[in-house]
Amino acid sequence: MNEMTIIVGSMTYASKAKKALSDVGIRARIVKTDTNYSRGCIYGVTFSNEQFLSAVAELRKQGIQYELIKDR
Amino acid sequence: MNPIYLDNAATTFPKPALVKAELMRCVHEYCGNPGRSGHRLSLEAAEQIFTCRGEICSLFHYPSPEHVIFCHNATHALNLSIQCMVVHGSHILLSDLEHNSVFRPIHTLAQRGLVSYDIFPHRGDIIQNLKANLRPETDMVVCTHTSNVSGFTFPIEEMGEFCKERGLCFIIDGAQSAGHLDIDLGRLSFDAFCAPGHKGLLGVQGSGFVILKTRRPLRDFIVGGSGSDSLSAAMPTFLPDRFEAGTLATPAIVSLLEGVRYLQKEGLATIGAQHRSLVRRLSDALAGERGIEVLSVPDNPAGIVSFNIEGVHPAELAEYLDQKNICVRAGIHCSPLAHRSLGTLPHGCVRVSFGPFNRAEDIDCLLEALSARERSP
Repeated sequence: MNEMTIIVGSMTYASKAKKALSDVGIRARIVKTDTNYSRGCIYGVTFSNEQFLSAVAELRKQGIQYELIKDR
Repeated sequence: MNPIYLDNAATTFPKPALVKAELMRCVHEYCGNPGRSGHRLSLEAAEQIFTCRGEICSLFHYPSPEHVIFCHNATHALNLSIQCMVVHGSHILLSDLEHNSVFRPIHTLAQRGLVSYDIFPHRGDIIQNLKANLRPETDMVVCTHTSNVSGFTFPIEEMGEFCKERGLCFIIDGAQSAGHLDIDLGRLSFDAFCAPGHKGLLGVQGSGFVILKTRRPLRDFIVGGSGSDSLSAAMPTFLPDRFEAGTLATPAIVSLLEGVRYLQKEGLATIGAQHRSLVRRLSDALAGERGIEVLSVPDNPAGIVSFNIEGVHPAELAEYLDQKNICVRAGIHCSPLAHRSLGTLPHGCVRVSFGPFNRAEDIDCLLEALSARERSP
């Protein structure tokens, strides 16, 4: 699929991350995941592999903390 | 014939068309459980709720949507704020215009021996009144922004600075100011700002919120499922999840979203000017009548005109007006402290309160009904 998912902890932070990425032209969608994760059900944002570096940079710039990065 | 609705301080009615439309769209098309599941309906509901957090931040000039904690109403929001920040053994100050949504939670804490409290007057210099009631153990000030009985508005900017300088927790009840005044929470010093969704913000009943800015240690309030950190026996430590246990009222929150959008489109300045104009028109007319005492503040932006007619029980007058198809509220308005301060106990007064859809003709009908009552044998 050539996609990456960044786990952000909660639905609110996933929404915040999606909006932050959308504001800089990175198309992202919110996903729910619980596989191989120690805290139970959790949300993340998924976007194209090619935009990984710019996405991470934008999330850092916005102060949005992410907990885990997963390949899909 | 549609009633003339003049009870907007209790709940605004009617609602803007888009509020009703989005509420119905939500119920029909996407009302999954927000923040719980991964399917389309759940995600759309959750994203609408996040959008509402953002629109609330935009209206109040506040930067952090995750600090917006949704509640069922302002009373819930105030209980949450007081309970999660109160220091046991401390002393709390509240004003003499507080609604029972502030007075009862604090009085209940005092009854349990957990806090003590004093009530400061709204007349005179507010900061001096606060200073006069300070004790070494004072830790919290809880104050309505605008009184639901008189429309009096407290100087929350100065009060916020006063509290900040002394390390006091400052909780604001914005029940009658949200949607009426342009409130810049980005610049204001405060710990919690509480508001209902169904009054000036024009949503339907069932939503309210706290904007929780505080950096104080927080005590849990209602605990339960949050859709996050679910393997932990404790609530998540991050906002808003820590204080949003249980399913949120999605239909009420999306109606609030559209209510806030309506206010931003129309402009708070325009709506505030309209309220002031209606308040002035009615207050002036009533003040010219013999035997009528106007109790509310002239030109208040909350759109409140409270009055009594000499020798007439407020409840009887409200019932008479209801028969004339005019909706007002009589009695104590859940604010015994305010009525004690205004000298209107035990019966209270009649309160007229305007919303964005009231016009001068509504006042003419009210005045005509009052005149007809005066003329009747």
